[in-house]
Amino acid sequence: MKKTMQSVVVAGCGRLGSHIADYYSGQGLNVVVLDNDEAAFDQLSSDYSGFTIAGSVAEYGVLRQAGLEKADLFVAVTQSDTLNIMCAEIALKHFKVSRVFARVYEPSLEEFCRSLGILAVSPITATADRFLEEIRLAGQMRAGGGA
Amino acid sequence: MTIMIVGGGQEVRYIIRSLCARGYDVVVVNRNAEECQRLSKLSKALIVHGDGTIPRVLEESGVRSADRLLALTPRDEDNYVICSIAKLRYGVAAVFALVHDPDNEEVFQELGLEGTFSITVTISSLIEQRSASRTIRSLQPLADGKVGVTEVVIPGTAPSVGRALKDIRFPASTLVAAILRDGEVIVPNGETVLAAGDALSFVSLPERYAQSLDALVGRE
Repeated sequence: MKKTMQSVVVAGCGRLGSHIADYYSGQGLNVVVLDNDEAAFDQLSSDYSGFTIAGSVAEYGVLRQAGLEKADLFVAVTQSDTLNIMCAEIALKHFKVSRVFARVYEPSLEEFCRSLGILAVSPITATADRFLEEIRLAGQMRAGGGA
Repeated sequence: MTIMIVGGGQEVRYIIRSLCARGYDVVVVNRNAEECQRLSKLSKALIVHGDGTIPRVLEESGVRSADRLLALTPRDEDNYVICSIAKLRYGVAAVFALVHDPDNEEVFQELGLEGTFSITVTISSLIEQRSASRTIRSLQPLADGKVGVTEVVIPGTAPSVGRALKDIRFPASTLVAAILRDGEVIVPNGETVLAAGDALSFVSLPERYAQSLDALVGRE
């Protein structure tokens, strides 16, 4: 990465969102995490030193409040694929955030997002790839051990 | 012409019926199985049960051959993504997204989605139009409702009677285009003095509409 990252905004504070927010907070970055349910912030670790904003990321005002125009990285990991894509697009095109990522459960949306310039990760594809890789390695080991 | 509608609900039922009656081929994509059954009994539209935010579902429903797509689900983000997929991936010529949060309308347009219509804005402007309907003869939205041409008849009690146009305190972005007086059309300038009974056509932005009307006919 050319520029050092300083500021990160995470939309959605579920298991994945809280994990990512905790990680970057631990790395000493400025982190803002958003969720429409205030109770979701309980999932953050006690060491989390970033900000939390309770509000809907579907609302433009909430994204602006999160300081998206100054963010170096935006990660959209709410439960909704379409919400993730929409706010990722707003982050990319309106707030000009240089690195924008989104989770999409639907694997075929991964490619669509990439055509928009959003780096999308589908947990199904990612898990499947990992599984297949592990299976392949396990097979190699057995084949190697037996020879 | 083929029109694809993604969504459901009471309004969608009426829209389907009216589009079918006008002879359009209508395809509806809806993710609720029960609603699909109801819709298929109700109209001759082709009803597809599926999630319209998934590209494959749109493709299998024939989005490639659709000339228009309307996204009418209850969620702005769903409508946005449905329209993006239809337009960018499948090349649908004209896509329209229903927008519930008025702030999103501007945002969507900035993201490249020109066809948006906002329920909130439409209803509030309708209320304003209706509440002053005694003096309004017609209202013609232009450019997707971004500008409107309104014809009003100036009542004798109006504050504008007997005043020149340049002395009337119109809001910005209002233009009086024509006055119909005693069967004759006058293209006015600033010196034109208004008279009771004038039928006056003015062009205004929807958000200035109420103020323009107040300046011409007063508050009712």
